[in-house]
Amino acid sequence: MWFKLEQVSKTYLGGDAPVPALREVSLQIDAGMFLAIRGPSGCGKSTLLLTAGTLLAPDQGDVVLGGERPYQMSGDARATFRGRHLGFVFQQFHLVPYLSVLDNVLAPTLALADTPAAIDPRVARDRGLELLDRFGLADRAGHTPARLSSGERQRCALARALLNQPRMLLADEPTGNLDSENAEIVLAAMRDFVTSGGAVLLVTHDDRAAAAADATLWMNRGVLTQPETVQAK
Amino acid sequence: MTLTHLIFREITHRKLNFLLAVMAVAIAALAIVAADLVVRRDAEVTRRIMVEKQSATEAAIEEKVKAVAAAGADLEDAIRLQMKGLGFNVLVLPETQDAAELHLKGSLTETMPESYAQKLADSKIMTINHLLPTVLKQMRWPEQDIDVVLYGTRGEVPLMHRDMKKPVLDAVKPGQMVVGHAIHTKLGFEVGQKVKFMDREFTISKLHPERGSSDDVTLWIDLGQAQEILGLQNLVHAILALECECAGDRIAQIRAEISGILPGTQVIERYSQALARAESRTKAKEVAEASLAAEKLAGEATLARELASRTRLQRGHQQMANFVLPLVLTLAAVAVGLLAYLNVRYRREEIGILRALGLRTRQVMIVFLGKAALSGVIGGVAGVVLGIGAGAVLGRLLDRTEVASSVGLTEALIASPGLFVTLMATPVLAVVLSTLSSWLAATMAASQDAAVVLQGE
Repeated sequence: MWFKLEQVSKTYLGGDAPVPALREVSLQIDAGMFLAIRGPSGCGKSTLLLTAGTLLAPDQGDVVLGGERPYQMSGDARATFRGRHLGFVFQQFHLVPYLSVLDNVLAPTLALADTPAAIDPRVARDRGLELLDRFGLADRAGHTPARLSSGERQRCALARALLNQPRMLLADEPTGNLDSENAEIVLAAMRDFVTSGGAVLLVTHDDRAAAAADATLWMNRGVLTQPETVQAK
Repeated sequence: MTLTHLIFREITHRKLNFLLAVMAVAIAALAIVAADLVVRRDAEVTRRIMVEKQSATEAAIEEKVKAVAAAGADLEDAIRLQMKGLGFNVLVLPETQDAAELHLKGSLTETMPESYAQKLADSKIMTINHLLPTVLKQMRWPEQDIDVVLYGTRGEVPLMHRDMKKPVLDAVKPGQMVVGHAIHTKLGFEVGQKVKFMDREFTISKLHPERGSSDDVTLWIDLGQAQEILGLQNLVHAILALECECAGDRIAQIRAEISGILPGTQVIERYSQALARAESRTKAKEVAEASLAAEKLAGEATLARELASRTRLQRGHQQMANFVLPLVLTLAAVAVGLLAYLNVRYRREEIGILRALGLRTRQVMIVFLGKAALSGVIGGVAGVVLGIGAGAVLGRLLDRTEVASSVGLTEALIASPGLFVTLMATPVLAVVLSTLSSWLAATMAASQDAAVVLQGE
């Protein structure tokens, strides 16, 4: 299994009372798998995604990606690892407002700069233009995100997530702000990614999105209620 | 895609934040350059003013020196003329001559060799001038039936070791006669008139005005003729002289010197009134010299006052700079830091996503510190340029002297190469100021938890 969560727990402190977000969650995803996680708001879905994405260290349990334990790495090493192997897609797109569409897509190359995995700028540019073309944004390369529609922004974010050719995509409600046409485009792209050997962990409320996944897990109050191992369709 | 590209794109996107940071840095740099320029101009202006004043004082003293020298020369001439008018004031007489005879009768009886005059002239005597060998005898003018003083003179014997001086008393040529006032008024003589004296004919060459002394009853004729009339060939009664302007006990000095050259003689002094006047003139010269010294002291005092005044002004400007500079630098640092903090706050989401994309701590720091450094470079250079102008304007406002207006940047730079260092170092300092001020904000950005930002959505 390329990705494993073993008995992972996470509790948020600081409020009136501790809020357990993940309770001994175990999960394994291999390459070529598309997993959706569904559940009510506040059930811990996003926490699971961030923990899987090496952005939120668990209080206990083990997280293994490609045989590495990113939470045992230094912050910078984990960041580089994240930039090299993981791609993120968010409901709010999170594009950098002052960069052009192409520059936004190329932004992940910064993470690999000065590392052995650094991508040649020309190769990166070609790859970025290719992705924009693939997502129907070739003529928008020089525009800023403010001039794009929601669907175009999410396609731009998806292109950004795919630029470094990651092993896994982590998507948090990627179709939440999209019309059905754009949602289809995004989900189709994710399926293509899975088909080409990548893994997708999707957190969603959207039935259509969940339907595109190989399997759907349910989460309630930080506990996964479906089988832990997901097989590809 | 590079971090530099990211920095430039962000700057062009949020121009106001960057411009405000540049302005804050520029004001700080301006303050540094302007303060340094003002202080260094002050020093140069002070130097120039002091040189100018020193030169003016020296010129004034030089003028005074010339005036005193001229006054001295005038005094010498005045004394000489006075002596000429009043007659010789030093008499060298045979030791056996009773001076009372001269005072009572205006006549002398004892004689000494005429060659004594030459002997004195050949010596290196310093205390007397204008040697005049004479015979002097009160006698009856039988042809006119009046008593007169016969004065035989041959003209002055030149002192060999001195420059020739204009004689005080012109020689009376043989066959000529100079007549005192009482005589010529009584007898109604005129210049050119021929008269008989002791069976010899003389032509009157000059009539003296009234002198109020024995000169009024004196006849001057050639020494040789007088010696012949009196039967005193190669002998004289006295050698008349003018004393020099000696300090101290003059007559004692004259006596000491003459006794060494002409043993068996005595020296007496006449016309104390004239001497008193001469002394008064000498005193006046001393007063003039004292005035010169006072002038020098006054000049030095003026210079000292000017220097003190300039030093006070410089100290005032320095103190103002010492107060304003840290204040401006602190305010600029706070402003830059605050702007950087606001920028970080505003870019939380962007930082979060960049961290999620894999940017390392150092890279996030570079994004913010690079921007700060750029604002430092631009603000520093702009501040230097503006500071030069502000320093010049401020310098003129704070110091309205004519000299100050003649000292610009070039003059200040030439006079004080340290200013060049300031101009070169200020942009560097501006970069350091801007970077350090933004450091805290950049650290906050780099340590921002991406998960918190992304969960915030």
